Amino acid sequence: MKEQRTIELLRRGHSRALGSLVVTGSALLLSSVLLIIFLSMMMRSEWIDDGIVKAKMIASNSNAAVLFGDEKAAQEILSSLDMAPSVESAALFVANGSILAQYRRTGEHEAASPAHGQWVGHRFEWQHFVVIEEIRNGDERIGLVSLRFMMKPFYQRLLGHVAVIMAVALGALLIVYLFTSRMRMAVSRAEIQLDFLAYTDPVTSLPNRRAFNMELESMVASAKNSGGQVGLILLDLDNFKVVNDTMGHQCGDEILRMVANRLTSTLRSVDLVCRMGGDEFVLILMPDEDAEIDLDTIAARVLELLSEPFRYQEHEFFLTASVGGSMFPADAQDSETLIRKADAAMYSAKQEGKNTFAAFRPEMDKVAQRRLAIEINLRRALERGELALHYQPQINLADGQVAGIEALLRWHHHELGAISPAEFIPVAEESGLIIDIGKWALQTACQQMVVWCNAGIAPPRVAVNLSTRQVKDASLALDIHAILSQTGLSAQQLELEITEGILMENVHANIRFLQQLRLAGVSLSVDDFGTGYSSLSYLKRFPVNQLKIDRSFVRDLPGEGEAFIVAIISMAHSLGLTVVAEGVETAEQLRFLRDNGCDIVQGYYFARPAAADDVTELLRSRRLTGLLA
Amino acid sequence: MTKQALTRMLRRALVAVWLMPCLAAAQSVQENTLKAAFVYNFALFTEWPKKTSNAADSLTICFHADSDMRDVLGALDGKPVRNMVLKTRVLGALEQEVVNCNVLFIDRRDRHHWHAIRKKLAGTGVLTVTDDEDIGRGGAMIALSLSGSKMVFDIDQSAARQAGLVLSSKLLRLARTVR
Repeated sequence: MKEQRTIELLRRGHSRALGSLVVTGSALLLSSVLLIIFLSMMMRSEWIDDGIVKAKMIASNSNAAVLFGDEKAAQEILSSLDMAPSVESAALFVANGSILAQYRRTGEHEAASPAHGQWVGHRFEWQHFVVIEEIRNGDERIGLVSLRFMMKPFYQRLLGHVAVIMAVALGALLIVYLFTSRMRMAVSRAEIQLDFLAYTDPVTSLPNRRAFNMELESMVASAKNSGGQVGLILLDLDNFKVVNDTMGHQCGDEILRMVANRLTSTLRSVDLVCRMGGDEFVLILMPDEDAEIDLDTIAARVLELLSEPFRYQEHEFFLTASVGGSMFPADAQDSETLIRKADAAMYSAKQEGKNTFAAFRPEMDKVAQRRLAIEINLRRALERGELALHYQPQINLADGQVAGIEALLRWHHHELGAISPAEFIPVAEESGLIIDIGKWALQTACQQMVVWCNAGIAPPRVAVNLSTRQVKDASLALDIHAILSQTGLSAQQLELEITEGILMENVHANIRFLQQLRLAGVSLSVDDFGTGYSSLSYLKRFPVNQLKIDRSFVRDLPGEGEAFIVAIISMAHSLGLTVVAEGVETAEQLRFLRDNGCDIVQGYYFARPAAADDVTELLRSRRLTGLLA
Repeated sequence: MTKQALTRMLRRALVAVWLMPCLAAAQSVQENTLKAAFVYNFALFTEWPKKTSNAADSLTICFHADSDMRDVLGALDGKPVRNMVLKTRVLGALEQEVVNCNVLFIDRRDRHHWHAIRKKLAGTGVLTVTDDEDIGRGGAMIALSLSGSKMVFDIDQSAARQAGLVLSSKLLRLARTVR
């Protein structure tokens, strides 16, 4: 395919060169013809002038001879015309019209005697040119001189000029041809180069997304004609971002190249690996002669190949991938749908816990459709006022007081009903809607806190969750500042919760950002602690106030979770951080946490997240503390 | 030679035979007319020094009252020469009355007076024309003579130059000899 395009581009370049040659040639021909016409007119008028001058000279020289009727002298004067090769014949006439002297060029067979008419002037004929001039003495005409010129030398000279002009034009054309064909070749080469760049991923040298789209389309089309199959495998590296963020892009690119090599090595020549961009790869599979495509086997081989560690310098990396597959014509009737189905399958594989393969199943479409519906509706959710904040109190185990209150996002769609944050937050995150939603949540929580302050029932802090996108958004610090000054809430009353995963994603930038917030007086809390992997050395450097133990560990209490929770609490305390346990649901869990020195608890055991009005009621009644007894 | 040309020649020959008796007289009249035409042409191709011109708009040709050429030269009176008009003057004795002439025609009658005339003319810028061989050899500027049937002339350019006259190169070219 690439060769065909190259040949096509070269041919186009060649025909363009020929085209410009024809145009240049025509222009040169036209200008040459015009030049020749102009030249011949110039030469003709010079020729005539020259003839008239010759005749006038003879007339002027011969007036004495004519006056004296001196034939000999007249003859002598005419003989001087021998020097002018264009003169065929000449004659001198006296006033009465009789001839005084005559000249005829030797060697001219057909040298007719010059006609003597009454007219004076010149007459231009095809082969001859006659000038008749008066011979004067003062005002009196005493005779006539008649000169007859041959046109042959004129035409010969003209022909010579034409030949020179034509030769010059041809030379120019040749130069133009050489020049343009060289230019065209350079342009063609550049076009081929551009073409290559346009269809190739610069990092891995694999075909890129554009090439993939074209290729898949043509393969599907040919499979449609022949009744064959096309298999599509979409592959997304699960934790590749970590490599890029911790080791830099050079390392990331090198590993992408390794991945590309491994993928290429698994395939047969008919199959094709493309890089879709980022950490996404795609495999287009054609069936073996008669065997059907076995997506499961190929996907298993891919996962197996990727499970081998990647070595870069002295480092070793373990990569996993979420792989989705779809088949033409079983799953889709065109290339676009085929890609969408493979994408849905890959998404499902990711949901299933990554490092796995999922072939497309029809119900995945429903998941994808729901996702799409969520995204579409989420865009309108804010303006329709469908989003709301629910609040869940956090209880200080030391004094039984409400230590803080966490704001949690809720969405009730008028048709779809209540949609779980676990479902819509990732969609908001991917679509970027989280920026506006997050800002709204921050503002609403602060406003509510001010309401509670005014009522004299406010807990010390309100906690608001920050998402990945929000943390990366450069204007977040400014937004927080603006919201605080707008609502009049003091920074000490605001706590921001950031998940462990977000914190570790871009350590250096985050440290700077968090320090800014801490300086302003905002409290910082590490959410979902224990689910990701934190580096303890980083944890020490982050200016955070508290750790929130993930609910999954609390759920395992009493029993398996115990040792882990004890370890976290002691570590946090030794780093000077307070510890919050989420998801406390039973008295046993509460007892264990209190016995092991946990500072703050939060969970259904005390209060479910509830609307602001209900929480106001709860805060007024101060009945939460009773549960601690 | 074409037949036509032959018959034309034959006819001319017949006319010539028929005219034989009056030929001699006619010939001398014709000869004089030709001489007068030559004299006129000489005036055309001669430049006089400015100061000698007695009148700015006329050129005077002088000749002896008894000259054979009297009639034919007299006929030149009033003819234009460049931007001037020809005048003729008849003199009784050349050696005495020669002043105020531009052209002087001297024939053999004045052969004896030539020395006196020449002396008189010294430094006066008069073009001297003669049809006498002796006078011609004796210092006349232009001497006409017959060579066979053809009228020719010889020029003594040193004499002309002494008199301050400039003869056109065209005239010099037509001369049989130039001294």
